[in-house]
Amino acid sequence: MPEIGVSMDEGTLVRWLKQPGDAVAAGEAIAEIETDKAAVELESPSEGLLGRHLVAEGATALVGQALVRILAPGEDEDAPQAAAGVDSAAATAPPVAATAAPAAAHAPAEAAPAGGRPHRLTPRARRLAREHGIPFESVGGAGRANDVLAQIASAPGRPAVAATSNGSDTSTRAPAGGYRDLIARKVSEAWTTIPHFAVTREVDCGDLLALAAWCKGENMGVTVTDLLLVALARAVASPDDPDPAIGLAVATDDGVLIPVIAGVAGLGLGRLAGERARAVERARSGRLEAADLTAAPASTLSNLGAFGVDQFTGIIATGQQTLLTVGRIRDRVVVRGRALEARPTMFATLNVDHRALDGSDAAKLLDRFAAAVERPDTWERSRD
Amino acid sequence: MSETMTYAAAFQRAMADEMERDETIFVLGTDLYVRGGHFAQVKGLGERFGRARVRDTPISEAAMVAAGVGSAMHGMRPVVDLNFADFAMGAMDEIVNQAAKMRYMFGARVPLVIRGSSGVGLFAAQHTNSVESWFAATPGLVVATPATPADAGGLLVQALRGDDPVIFLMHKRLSSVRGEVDVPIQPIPFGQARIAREGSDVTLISYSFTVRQALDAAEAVAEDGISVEVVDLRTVAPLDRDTINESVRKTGRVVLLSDAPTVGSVLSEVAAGIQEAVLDYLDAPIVRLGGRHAPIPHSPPLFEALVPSLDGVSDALRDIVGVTV
Amino acid sequence: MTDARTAAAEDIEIDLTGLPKGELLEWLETMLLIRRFEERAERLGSRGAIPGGIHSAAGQEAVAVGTMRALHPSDPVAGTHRSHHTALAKGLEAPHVMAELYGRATGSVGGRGGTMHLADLDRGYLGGNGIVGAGVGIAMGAALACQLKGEGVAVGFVGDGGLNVGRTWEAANLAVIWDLPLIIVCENNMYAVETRFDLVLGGGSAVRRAEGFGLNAVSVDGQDVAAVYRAVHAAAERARTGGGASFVEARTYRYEGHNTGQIITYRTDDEVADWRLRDPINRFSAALVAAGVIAEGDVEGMDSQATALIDDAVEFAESSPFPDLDTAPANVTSMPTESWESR
Repeated sequence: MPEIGVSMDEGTLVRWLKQPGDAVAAGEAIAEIETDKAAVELESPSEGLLGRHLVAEGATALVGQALVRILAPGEDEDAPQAAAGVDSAAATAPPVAATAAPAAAHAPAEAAPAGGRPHRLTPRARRLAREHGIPFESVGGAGRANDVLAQIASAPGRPAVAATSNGSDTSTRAPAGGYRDLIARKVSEAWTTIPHFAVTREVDCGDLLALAAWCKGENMGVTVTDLLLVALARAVASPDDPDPAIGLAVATDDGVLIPVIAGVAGLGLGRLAGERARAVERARSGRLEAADLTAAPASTLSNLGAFGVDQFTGIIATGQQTLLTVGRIRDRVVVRGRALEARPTMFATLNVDHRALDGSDAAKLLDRFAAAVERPDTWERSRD
Repeated sequence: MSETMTYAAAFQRAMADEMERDETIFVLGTDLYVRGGHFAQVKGLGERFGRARVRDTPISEAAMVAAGVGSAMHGMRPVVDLNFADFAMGAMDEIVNQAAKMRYMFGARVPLVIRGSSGVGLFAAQHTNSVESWFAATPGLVVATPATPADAGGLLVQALRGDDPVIFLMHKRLSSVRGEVDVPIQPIPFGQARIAREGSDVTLISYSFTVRQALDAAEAVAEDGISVEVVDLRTVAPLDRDTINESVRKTGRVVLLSDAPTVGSVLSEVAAGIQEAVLDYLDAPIVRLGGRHAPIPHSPPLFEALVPSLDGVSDALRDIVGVTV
Repeated sequence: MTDARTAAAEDIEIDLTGLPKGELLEWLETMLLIRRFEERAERLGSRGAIPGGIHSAAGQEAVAVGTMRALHPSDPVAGTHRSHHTALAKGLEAPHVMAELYGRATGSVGGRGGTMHLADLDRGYLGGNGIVGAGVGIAMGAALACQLKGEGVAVGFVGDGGLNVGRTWEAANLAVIWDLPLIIVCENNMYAVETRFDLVLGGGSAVRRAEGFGLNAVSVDGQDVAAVYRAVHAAAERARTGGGASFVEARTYRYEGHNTGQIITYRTDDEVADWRLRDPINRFSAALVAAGVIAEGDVEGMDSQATALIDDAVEFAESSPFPDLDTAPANVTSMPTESWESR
């Protein structure tokens, strides 16, 4: 059982998505887990065959308690194991109920579910909550569709049309609804609470593009966005947070979502490319994870270069202090020495929460970003 | 043009018009020529079409249905009137092993209509079997369960013009119910449900006699501000799953109603299909309101205690919406 | 009794030879009870007091009494849908039969059966049956049990309509090849609902059909209780001594329609009147009077007594409670019904 968010003691294994004997890939979802704060998918840490379910659907388990083993092909699950934690959990956790959990149907910090069912929300409510990005545990009332709609409709400036007693929900009448309402709510909140200002700088991308070309030659799957993520991570790194997580703004059919990539700078470019691809996929398929929802990245990158934008300002996400918005890299006329040259440049704008940073702080941050972009040779250049 | 007529008269009208139009159509059963059948469903047809085409038989259900199967396979369009649907028991082989399977096994068309008066009423246990789910579960059979005179006529015309064996179940308690029927009667396709009442809060699905109860209950709870959509299945095999699913997507709440026993019922099949197709639109568990798992006794209050009541349906509608009254 | 007309003596005189003389008064009493019961129940059905009406057996009393009195009390019997007379003759008590028609808790089967489904397993009455021909099969099964147990004779009633149902003859065939102690009593009252038997009986003769299946078969005047008795008694003796299965066609008549309220267009009033001339009760009482078993004046008294018993039965039924609604789903199987249902 992973620890999702902070101060989590135990979680409920809601549903197994894979059965014993199924082949699973690394990163493939094998179960749904729920805590009082979030509902997430448990991913297989490695490739292999799924072993026996050590915890039954609907049962709770302590953080750290073994839920299942991933076996190598041909590996015998019942052979004596020295793996830490497996023996004790497997031996003491009967298939039906988690040993230390007081009662099998215990749902921590919730009102007793109607009829004793393990899901407090109805299927319709869960779908709506997922579509609108509303965490399950934040839905009040009886956990029905109306209760989700009440949350969505309470966004400022939106008429309370969705939360009518007749039970109809807007998503069925406006198929493109999706996250729109949530985004509206969130950006309104951010805009009205965070005092924004922005600093802009034109950054030379010649060496960055050369690095990108080298990576391409090595078939690493690395994009310019990946490189920008590294640059931003290096810029915002601090002694307290030496290898920060960075959010990446992803445009989806339902609106902009921000998956979070952890340890951007320390991953190495090849792996970063993979993580970035997975993050984009999560966002596009509407399956953000707990880490996306609850983690606070050090900063977020938003790149509208592909859309022909030269530069723009953005709205910082609540809980963050900076947002880097960048436009397209194109050849522009610059003055070097006293001569005119055509150089690939990019306008990078650092949007800043004035409560946290002054102008000079912002300028210094942006400078570090520019330095990282312009001197990629100072990065560790590894294949992984 | 629209006429008011009873359920039985609509059947009779459709039979008469189709027999006029198509010489291969004939009907056989007990007490048809003079009496017109035990529910007057073919009254007057004997005089009009003669003894060869309105053919009295002894009480011999197996032979009656066998005659129907054989003649259907050889160019005719027979209607076998079993009188009570309960009497199908004596012809189960002919229905299930013969009529239902000829097309699949041999490619043979069996345009046979088997009519029976079905459902629960004051007739004691052996005359109140709900046979529709048994036949609906038998591949090869269409099972029609009209709730209104218009549908009795329209579904019969469809059956008489089609090529499939149709179990045509007319509820015993609907014979004298009156309704508007457009004449000439047009065929109603099988597997096409009817929205008997539009609504947005709850989907109430039923068929045959209990559609009336469903409409009454919808009217009753309208006063509580609950908007009920009543869906009349018309045919329980094939089911109109699209209409059902569309309604469920709209309302999120489903109550299924019938006077047949709930266990193993048509309602159960509908419920399974709903959760399979539109689970994410359900805001509450699907409720099946059917009969208790017991035969029907003679004593009227005992019988009433075993089938859904109007109050029971109304309460279920209020419960599922979460309205306390 | 006072409404009957007399007719030519030779046609209708009953021969009491071979009858247990000491029991004949009881036979008459029972026939009167059945007649008054059926007349009253028909009126109550028309009024709606008896829900759903009845299938009257008025006119068929001699078949019921003649058959039952030819059997041992423990011999099993299965009826048709028209079975008030066979049930009463077998010993079911009038108040409980009436209460059953009324659907009350005190009915013979607690209100669950109604007119077609009277039963009393303790008395060997295996029930009236709504399915044509079913009684023959059930009686055949009981006959099998009798054979295995080494005692008893079973009787299965069937009407003229049931002669054309397959299940009747499958059961008969089995009884014949196994030499079962079964007597099939066919109450040929000429009409299956509205269908006249001679239009639909292939071969024209129930007896020949039965013989074709290997049964010992006779046809008797069903309005003559002595003739019925003798035929069934002989068949029973044959069965008890290993002689196998028999068929007795009793030519009889029902005075009322198939069921309460039926509009009768399929037979004439003259025909009914003709049969009333051969009324089984009139003929029997005349024979008893002629034989000095009863005085003519006492017949009236017996009739009044029958009527009084029916009055009591109706009062009993009308004052009986309906069954407790909680019992409605009970006793479907040995397991509680709730265990079959969801939740």
